[in-house]
Amino acid sequence: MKVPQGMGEGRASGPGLRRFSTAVLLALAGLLGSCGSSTHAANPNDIYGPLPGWLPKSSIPVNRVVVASTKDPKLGIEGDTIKAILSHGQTLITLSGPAVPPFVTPPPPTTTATFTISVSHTSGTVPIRAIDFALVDGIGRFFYPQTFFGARPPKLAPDGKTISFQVREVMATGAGSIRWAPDGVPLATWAFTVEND
Amino acid sequence: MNLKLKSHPPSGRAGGGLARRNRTLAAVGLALSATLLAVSGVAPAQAAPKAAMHPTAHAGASSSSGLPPIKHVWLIILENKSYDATFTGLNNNTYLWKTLPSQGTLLTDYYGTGHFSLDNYVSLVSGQGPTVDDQNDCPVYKDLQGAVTANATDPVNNGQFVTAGAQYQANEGCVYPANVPTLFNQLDAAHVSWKGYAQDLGNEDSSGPSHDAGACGGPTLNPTTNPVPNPGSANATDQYVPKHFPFPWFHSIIDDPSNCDTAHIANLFSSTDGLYHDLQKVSTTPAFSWISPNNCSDAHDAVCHGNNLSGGWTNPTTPNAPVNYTGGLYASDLFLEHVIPEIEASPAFKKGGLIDVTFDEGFPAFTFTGNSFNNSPTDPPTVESSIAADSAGENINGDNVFYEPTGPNTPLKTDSSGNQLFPGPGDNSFIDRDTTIPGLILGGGGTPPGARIDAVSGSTASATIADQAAVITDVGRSVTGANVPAGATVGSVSDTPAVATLPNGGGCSNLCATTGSFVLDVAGVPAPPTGPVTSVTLGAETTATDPLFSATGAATGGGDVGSVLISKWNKPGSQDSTFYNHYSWLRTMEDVFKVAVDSPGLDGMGHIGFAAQPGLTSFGGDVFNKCKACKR
Repeated sequence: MKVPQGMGEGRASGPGLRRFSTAVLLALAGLLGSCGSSTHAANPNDIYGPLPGWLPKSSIPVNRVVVASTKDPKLGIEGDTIKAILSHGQTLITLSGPAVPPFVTPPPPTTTATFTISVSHTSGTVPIRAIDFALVDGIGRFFYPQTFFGARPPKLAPDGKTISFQVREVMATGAGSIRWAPDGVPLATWAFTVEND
Repeated sequence: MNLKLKSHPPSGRAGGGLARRNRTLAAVGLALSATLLAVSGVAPAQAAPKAAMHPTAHAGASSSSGLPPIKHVWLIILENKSYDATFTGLNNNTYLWKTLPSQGTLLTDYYGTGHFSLDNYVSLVSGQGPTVDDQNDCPVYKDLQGAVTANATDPVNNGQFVTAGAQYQANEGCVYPANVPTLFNQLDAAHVSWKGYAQDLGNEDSSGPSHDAGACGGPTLNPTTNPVPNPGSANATDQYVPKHFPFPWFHSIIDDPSNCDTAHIANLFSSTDGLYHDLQKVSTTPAFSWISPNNCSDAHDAVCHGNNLSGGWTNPTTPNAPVNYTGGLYASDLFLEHVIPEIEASPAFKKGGLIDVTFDEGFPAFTFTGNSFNNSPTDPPTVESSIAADSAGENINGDNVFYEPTGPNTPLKTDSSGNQLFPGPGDNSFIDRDTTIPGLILGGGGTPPGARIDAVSGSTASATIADQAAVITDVGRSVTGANVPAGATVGSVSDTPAVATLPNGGGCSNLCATTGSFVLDVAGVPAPPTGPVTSVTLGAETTATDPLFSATGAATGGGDVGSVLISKWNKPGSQDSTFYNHYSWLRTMEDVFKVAVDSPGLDGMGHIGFAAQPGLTSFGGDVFNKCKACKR
């Protein structure tokens, strides 16, 4: 899947590179270690590079783009890109944030939390409505944004284009989540923490 | 790595015969400890002078202590996420949850000890309970005023530092005096090498003078004569924050310049003194490594001020420019995916290493349901639920209690009616109190909310009132307004999320409301309005109706944060539900490195502060579940 660069979409594109780099570096380190002791076989445990044999090899995919539908809604963390299958369309949607005002001392118990949502690779009908993004704070209090913050996005996500928009609420500090329910039922939820210290 | 470490190979202490010697010395130490405490009041570990590094390598602890022969430990400490937000499947797409527990043992009931950050870091390395300024992350970097009042006849005190003056006074300082010992002093005395790595340490600040170029990561060389407001916050080029690094907060560390040299304190990604450099050989790897990611990579900031490592790496110590600035667990994953494999590739890890990844505290400390973001259909969102959810199960002085040990500076003091007067380890955050109670100190708490006017929509056809502002904690509030029946209250609120936000869905049906509403009740019976309703006033909550109010409940503390331990003595993918906390971790490190030989501590077994509390145990065969000899 081709995933565009930009705000909130590094998770889909970056980690593969990171893993590759780490693997290459570790392999190189192992080779260099072996070369330095070519006259007699080195114990792998004595050199930097190869992972210990008792460590299980990770077969669990990480950092993948997960697929969500109303029948199979998905949870993620802020920064995750989710491939959302709606009743009449699909899109890649990423949430990041919240951004908060600069640090002040003492940090107040509530703060203005601004979230950035990006959608891309859209096909079909994907409505964009502020009310579909429900915010929940750490003790279950709901907030329903009535409007977008800043520039208003189109009512429908444009095919093939990437757009970003924001929602903003005053929220208590601590854990929270934002839930997207574009067809009237939740499709994706991202967890976040509101920090202002 | 400098010559000091090269010439003194680091490792844990000897096992076998030395273990037997330890037991003898421990008994002697116990007697000496009691004598020292009774005579001088000086913490006994502090009585051990700092010695040069021992010239010989030590083996790890023996299994007779219930611990495997661990030789090297790396602690990576992240920030402000409850267990439910990290290890329960909510976070189901991450290296932290998917990969790390599959390599080792996940401690499902490992607790922080306070709120906010700094008190947790202090308790981890010294066993000291929270102080007021610790709880507030140290508004001014300056000396604490007070004294250690260790008293061998007082089983509660546990070598705690007592601040001078009236209890619970803010701006009392944050740097402990030289007679408050730390794990690092104990390691020094035991000739065990240690090092603190901090990401961005020493970087130039983009927003003014550097805050962190001082001794051991502190903002100044001398907090006694040169107090510094705001010890440091993250900016674009320097996201290191001192409150997440335990070293600058103790005179027992910073008064000895050698403790702050490059053999002991370094920028994590330094090419000459950093982690990757030191991991290349056993001889250059400290026996104990403390790793503090910066305020982005530790998951603290939701949007990072600077590089979040999303751009990949040019080489192991040089990150590329980021492709985004997303923080939180996204950023900590980027950090962990880079650093953990580096450690695992090191010869020191392969020869008896232990990696421990944990968080300082939950934020908030509690959850209601086993999932931070779903209100439970059975557990009400009340302060009682939160206190129960934070029931750390601590065993203090032989008693199981539902709070973290608070120490003498933040006592769980009550009046004759049982009203909680002091905030405790959680600084009263997330709890509402009655400020009319004589002697109450509110701390970070709140008060019951006042009246609120909501725009709503309702009609005679139904008792359900559409109200986008309705929240679960509104239940029970009085409702007044045009066409609202007398005596009406907020009944059930329908916007509580349901099964659709659980992992893998499980269906949604009509439980998945996306608009807020509440049922208009009169005497507990749904009562439709007598005409159209467009606006209502929800009455002010009282101490009787506010679900977040408690006069008698202890403030929640650090909360369950979980911990992952990876070593060849941990069964991959295993879990352990024994209750542990940061004091247990300190006790474990003291046992792993057998510091009791040279630092008998409060109990003669090498434990300081609350790590010496009766009933507390270190990690054992339940955690190191592939170590057959570790069964207690």
